[in-house]
Amino acid sequence: MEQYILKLENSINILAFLGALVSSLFYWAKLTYYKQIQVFSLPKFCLIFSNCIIAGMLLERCFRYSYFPLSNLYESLLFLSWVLNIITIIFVDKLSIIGAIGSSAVTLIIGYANYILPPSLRQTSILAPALRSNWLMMHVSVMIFSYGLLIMGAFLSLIYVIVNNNLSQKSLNRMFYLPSFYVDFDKNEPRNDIGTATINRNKLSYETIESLSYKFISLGFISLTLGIISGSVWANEAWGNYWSWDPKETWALITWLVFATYLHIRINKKWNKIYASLVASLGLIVICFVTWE
Amino acid sequence: MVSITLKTNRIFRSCLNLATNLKFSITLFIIICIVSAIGTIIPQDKPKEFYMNTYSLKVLGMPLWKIIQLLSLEKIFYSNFYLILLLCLSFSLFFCSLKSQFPYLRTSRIIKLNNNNPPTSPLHESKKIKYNNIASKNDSSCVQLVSQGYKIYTFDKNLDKAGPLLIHLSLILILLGSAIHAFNDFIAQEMIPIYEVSHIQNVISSGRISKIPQTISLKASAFTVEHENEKVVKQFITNLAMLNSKGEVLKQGLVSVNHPLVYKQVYIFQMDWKLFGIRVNYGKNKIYEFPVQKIEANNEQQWSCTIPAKNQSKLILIFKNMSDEFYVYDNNQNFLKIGKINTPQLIRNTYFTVISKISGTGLQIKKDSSINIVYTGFLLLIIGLVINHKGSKKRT
Repeated sequence: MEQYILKLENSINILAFLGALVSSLFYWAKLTYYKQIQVFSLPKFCLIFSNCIIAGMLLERCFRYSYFPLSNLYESLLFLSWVLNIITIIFVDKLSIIGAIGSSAVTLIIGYANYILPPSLRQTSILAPALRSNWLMMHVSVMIFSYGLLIMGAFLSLIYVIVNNNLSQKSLNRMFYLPSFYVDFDKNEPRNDIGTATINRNKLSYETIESLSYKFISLGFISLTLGIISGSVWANEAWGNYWSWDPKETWALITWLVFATYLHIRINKKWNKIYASLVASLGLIVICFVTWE
Repeated sequence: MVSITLKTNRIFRSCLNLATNLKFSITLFIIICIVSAIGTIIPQDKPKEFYMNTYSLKVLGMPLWKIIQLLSLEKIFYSNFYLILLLCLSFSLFFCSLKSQFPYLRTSRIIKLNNNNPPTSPLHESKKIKYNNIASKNDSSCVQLVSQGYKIYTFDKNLDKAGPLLIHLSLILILLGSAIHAFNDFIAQEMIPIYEVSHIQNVISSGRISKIPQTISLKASAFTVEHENEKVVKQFITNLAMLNSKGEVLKQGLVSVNHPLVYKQVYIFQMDWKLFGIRVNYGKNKIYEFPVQKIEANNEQQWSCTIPAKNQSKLILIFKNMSDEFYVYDNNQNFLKIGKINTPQLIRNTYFTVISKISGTGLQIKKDSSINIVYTGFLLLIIGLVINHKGSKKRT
């Protein structure tokens, strides 16, 4: 019976994976080749399809083992891909590049969870008494949700850094040859706000990327904070220590600090947004490291 | 004298400027990130031999483990360097709130307009002009205008600017709370046999000015294990009483995993359990207690106990988990039979009854005098973040 269910799970997984793969291919194609608006969007349909499958699988596991289904790495990765998927579905109409990033990230995560992760990690382990806590459930789900938001925001920032050619040679020199935090950034540098600069179609889309990235990260930052807090409340209730400097906690703190730095630079109007985006791209590396670990 | 105070004043001012400088705080963030990352790469709190074996590589003519020990990287989060970093962070947070955020909040609330210009035109007309001016400058929904005589005030009704201030204050609260915890409190672990009274003795860590209460003792009157099924444990529950020096009960209650017992800032957590021994009746009220030994096997907790039998022979009893059954072997490790607690056994001409098991409960005892401060900080942090988010949404 168990084996039969596992086989069924595998074949359903392939469908979710294929759905995400097809939609990511179409979104990349859409970015480069044709840009007309379609009434019926095939890639979006594929994404919604794979989203439903992932949600169904998580729910099925929830009912089969009768507990909250985020006990191991496999389920956490599935949930992360679901979060990224739903963000993509909601925001893809605002900015087409979100479709390309989101769907390929979903494809990668599902693929990794199903085909590279060793099968022993996929089996549900029995929960120890300390892990049966509502605070822990809240911690895990909010953490993964925040990672989804932060990954999306940081990716957009990275794209802003790559695409925006406003980064002049002068500031490049400053960034790489001088300790940049003790150099006053050029305050007269033209800022390409929509209001102040001449409205240029390209610039507008850059700014949309940047502002969406800011929105994602600030929302993700709030949920990251909530996740860390609920985790430490749980730890305090389980063994009476809200912070014990173990590597997972420390990396969560590092992520928090990196994105706090991003927010501080971003809200300071004197500084160019590109520096904030660079910090967010650094945050992307940190998050990837955290989730892989 | 004056020059000295002036000089200290100048130093103080330049320190203040540095502390409130955004670039300084960002540098601080990054340093803390890097140091913490080092702390996760190098395993913390291991014995000295571990570092000598793992980091035997030589750098600059000195073995790496010596450098690690010199910089106290093996307990980086408790080193003075890290403490100084956190102190710098708190100062930066505090002075930033004091110097820039608090005045900003005040000015955003009351902006006095038209302070000393007596109206040249009739009053109502001047008011009208002012209203129009302000309405064109501000979003009318969040600015309230109040006129008092010839003066017109405007109140900024939204408290969006309180967001960052609240965030910084809550972070200071959290840091303060954990500092108090580190100085004032202790953590101890006790393994207490059921029905016996134990004092707090095995202290794991304690702060510099912490006091361990000598008059409190603990008495566990029952320990049960709830099972989900055969092998899976659901919950450990201890019925625990706290006694004072006269033996009077101060507090009694159930302690289980995730549900600590609290008495005056002392928290007691359920951590572990253990089998200490068994009581065996050889008939005619000859009751003996025998110690047990733990065996690690197949992820199962097992205990073995050797009891004497007739003709100089010995019997070995094996207990698995918390079940009432036990397995009886003889000296040569031959399996004899399965017995049950409180049922008489006749094995190899020996008549005996295992009356009960003496189990013990593993408790962690912690004093936490500042948990309320930390939790208040957590709450304020979330509220501040939400307010800040709302404010930033309005601005864009």
